[in-house]
Amino acid sequence: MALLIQLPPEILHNILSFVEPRDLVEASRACRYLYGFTKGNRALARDVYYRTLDAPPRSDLDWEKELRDLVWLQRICANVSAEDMNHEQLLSFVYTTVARLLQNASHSPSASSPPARATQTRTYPPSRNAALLGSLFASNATREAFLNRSFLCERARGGSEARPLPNPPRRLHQQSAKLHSLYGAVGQHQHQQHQRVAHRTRSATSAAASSATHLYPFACSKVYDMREYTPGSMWGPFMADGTGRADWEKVEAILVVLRTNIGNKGLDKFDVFGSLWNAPFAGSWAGNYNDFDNYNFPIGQGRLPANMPRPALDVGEATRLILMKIAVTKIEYPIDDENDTQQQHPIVHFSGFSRSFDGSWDENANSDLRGTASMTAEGEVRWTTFSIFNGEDRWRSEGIQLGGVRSARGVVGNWFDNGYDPHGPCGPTAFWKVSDNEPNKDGDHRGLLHGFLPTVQYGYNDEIYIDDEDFSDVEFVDVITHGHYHGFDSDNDG
Amino acid sequence: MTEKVSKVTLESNDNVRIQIDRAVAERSMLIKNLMEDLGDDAVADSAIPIPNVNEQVLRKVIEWCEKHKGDPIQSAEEENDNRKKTTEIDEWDQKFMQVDQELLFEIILAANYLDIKALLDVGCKTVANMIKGKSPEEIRKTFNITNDFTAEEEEQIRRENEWAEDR
Repeated sequence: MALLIQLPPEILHNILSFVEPRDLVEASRACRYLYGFTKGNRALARDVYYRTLDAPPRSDLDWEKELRDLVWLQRICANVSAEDMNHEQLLSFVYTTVARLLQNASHSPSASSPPARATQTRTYPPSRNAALLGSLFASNATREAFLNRSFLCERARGGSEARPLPNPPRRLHQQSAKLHSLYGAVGQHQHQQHQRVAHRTRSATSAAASSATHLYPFACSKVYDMREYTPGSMWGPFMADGTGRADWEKVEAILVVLRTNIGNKGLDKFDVFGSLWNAPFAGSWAGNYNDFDNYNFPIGQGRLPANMPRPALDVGEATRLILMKIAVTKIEYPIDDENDTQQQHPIVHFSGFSRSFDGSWDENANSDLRGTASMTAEGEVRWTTFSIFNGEDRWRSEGIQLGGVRSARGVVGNWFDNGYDPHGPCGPTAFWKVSDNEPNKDGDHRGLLHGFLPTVQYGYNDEIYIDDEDFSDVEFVDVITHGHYHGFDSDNDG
Repeated sequence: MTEKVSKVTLESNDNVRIQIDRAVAERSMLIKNLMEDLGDDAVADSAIPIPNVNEQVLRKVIEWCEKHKGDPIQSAEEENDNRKKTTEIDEWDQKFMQVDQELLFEIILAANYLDIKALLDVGCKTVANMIKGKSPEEIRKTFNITNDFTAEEEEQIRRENEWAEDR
């Protein structure tokens, strides 16, 4: 009788090219022949990789290592144990492996998938990598172990116990926060909890009662902490040390706050939130803005040491959706400077205007805009915007594009007074590119929201970015939250 | 040159002749090329010997070719595009492949020899599905493979496959 291992090698290769990465590992353990056949078999590993995952931008990967790491990641995510919660190297491995899978996710919007709706928006193509990663983090235990390990999450778990902020931020916290931010759906599960807890909190009016597991009040306390807005951090979601590196824990906190507000405002019905923010590792894109109104936060916590996080905060915030329309005005190529070799992408200058989107009349939402998109030394994309009233810069925002160059996840950051007013106001903001097209000039943009927002076919990735010179007349939707309160600045004794 | 023949006769290695439609036979790139090379006269006059395939297997292969004679032939480019490869097998093919392992391997070998790429893939996917989700021990059992690792080797391979911080 013919045996599997007696088949000609090209047929065995063909058979094994149809199995999953984990099966390849298991098969190699069956006998010496299969071990020898699979070990070092780059062609086979490559075939399985291409059949299982997105075609990566580079074709010279170490296919065997990629598959092996993927199998490990799958196993680790499927069998989370209590010890994993404190395992720094394990988180590090998960972080780098996920980052690599996202980096190698499909980049070209597929021409073969036309928009599902007859609109001006783009439909983002599905990504196998994103779908796979989404399934890996489908369980609560896995998310707890790897996505919820930032200081913010630890704090939320730890209750009201006061702990100093680690300075500089711990790598583990940052990695987990970045994973959490890239995962998206940030605060989705927390959100539901929040609904319940918020009730209790408000009725009990006790700060201690908010020590439940949800992140929102802790995120608010970070996002609205004026001490986080410093020249070193450029008042944006950057590290305080002036290096311009992204502070992922800030990004995470901003996402938690915005996500909760979007949910509370019932904006989930819009595809951009439904499909981009609620789907794991989904992808959309870019723009900005800010406005604010007054919210008086009750002060009275007494003086805090500078390294203590603010008490948890559960403010009723206002959330605005704003449509921004921008066009590139100038592309500034980096000068060949020895000190600045990192910057290979140009600085893109743009200008445009913004209009209130969701029916709320708000003069701060209607302004002229200008700004820049550039690359940080780390390779993240930084967006700076200014809103202009009567020819003068009034509000400014600093943000980071989630997922790096060409990502469609949106830009997340802070808005604040252009004069860097230490008393605020300030708040979180996020924006997405929704359209490359010009709708009706100066027309009524309201009611068009559904039509503009992109949908994702469960995909990561996308399109355009600052080296894409033909981005003219681009539209963005901006979500802004203001939970402004004066006096949450550094030395207020209350 | 005579008119294009519409029937061809194949002869299995156990000397059984089977007459089939030309279109069915042409699912096999080997036979198709052979007929082009030899010319219709030769094909019309005598049976084409298939020396590697016995009657049982040949009839199975012909059954598959009959069913799929209208299918578009894959281009070489499509064949090489792994991204388009799915592991799905259509229902008819699944039923068709419900045979004992020995016959399954023989169909695969015949498809390989006769150069019927689509049948070869269906066969390989069927075997792949028998591997999927199984432990090494289950794979051994399924395919009648002897574990020829020493205890030390097994331990070493187990370690190789375990996540460790230094890798």
